[in-house]
Amino acid sequence: MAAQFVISPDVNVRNITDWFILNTKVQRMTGQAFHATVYTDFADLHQAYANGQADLVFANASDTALLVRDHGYQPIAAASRVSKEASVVVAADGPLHALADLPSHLTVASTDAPDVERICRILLEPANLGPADLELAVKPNPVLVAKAVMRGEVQVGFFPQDAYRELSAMVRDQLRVLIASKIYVVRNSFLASPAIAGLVGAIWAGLESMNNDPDSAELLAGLGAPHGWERVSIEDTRFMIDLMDALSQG
Amino acid sequence: MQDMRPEDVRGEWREYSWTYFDGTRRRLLITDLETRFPTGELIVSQTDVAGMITMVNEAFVHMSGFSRKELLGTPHSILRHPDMPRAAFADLWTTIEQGKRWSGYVKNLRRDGGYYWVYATVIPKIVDGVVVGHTSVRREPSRDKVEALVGVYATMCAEEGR
Repeated sequence: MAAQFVISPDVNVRNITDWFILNTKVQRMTGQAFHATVYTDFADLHQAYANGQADLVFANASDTALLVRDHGYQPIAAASRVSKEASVVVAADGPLHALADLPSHLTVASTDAPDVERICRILLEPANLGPADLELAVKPNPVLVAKAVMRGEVQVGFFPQDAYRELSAMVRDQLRVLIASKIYVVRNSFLASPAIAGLVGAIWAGLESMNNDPDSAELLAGLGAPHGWERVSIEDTRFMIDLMDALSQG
Repeated sequence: MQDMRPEDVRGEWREYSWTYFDGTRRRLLITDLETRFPTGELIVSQTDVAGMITMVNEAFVHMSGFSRKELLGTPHSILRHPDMPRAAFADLWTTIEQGKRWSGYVKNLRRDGGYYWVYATVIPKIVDGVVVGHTSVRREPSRDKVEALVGVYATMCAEEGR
């Protein structure tokens, strides 16, 4: 029976077929059949976790905490020198130019990516804006977040920085970054469920072999790993989980 | 911990003889120069259960003014500023020794005698059910809250006989 390879909805997917190509490679690395699913909805992804239908996961930091701490998943690898950063964005021609300009009640558009929302909420804390001061409108994707800001439906938008950079120049011209994170340690990573714990070594060996393979360079860039993959230890993962816990607003 | 030296300090300084919780003393040279928190960044460190620094990130190194080599293996209290009330740290230790998370506004001492304000969160680092140290994450504080706390902390220090 095929194991399940699942990709989190907040992975910035440029070309979905890249993930299916990687899935083929994973099957060659391990000799195990995998079925790949690029999720577009967190509710569906979390249902897959609950149903035990997520063996190899490319997970965001929030889900990494859940899967490693509560379900015994093992970290395998992450993209080298790539971290998840977020920006709070306003309308270019609007009145908000600095944190000090923000009102005490703020309307926000965001996707449902939990890492990005958590980072952006932290970025707004110096402006005395806590959880109760933000009115959040969830949008299906960053383009619709951008439109909500441009049309004045909300005062700010929360963006992953990579997705913001990939908006068209015409859209970005109508927006302005108010504040951007430089945290460096929040990242997506490959995790293995206890059911495939015996395959961790083979998966890492296969991912590592891609780093020095010129034929894999384009694929790596498409997967968001232009500098290749690096091994992630359980200690690295525990540190990221602790950091995400510390950033939660309780 | 080594005494602070005048040659490492920027600007006019005041001298304190500071006694730590374990009875050790250190000469502190304090200035009024503030370094503002780097917007968008986090200052991160980890300590062992005895409070010795085991890991720092680049922002920690930059903001503290110490080298990474100077920091690793040194008590975290090397950043302790005399304007901070002892009661705040007593509360921190009481909280984290119960395995709970602590958050608060802290004025930290730099190597050059200056200071920087942070909003700090300290959480226990738990491995196999055992607390093996602590992770501390500092983020940019609200200036309104910092300004309000300057007076509060000064009152608390005065009540502590300082």
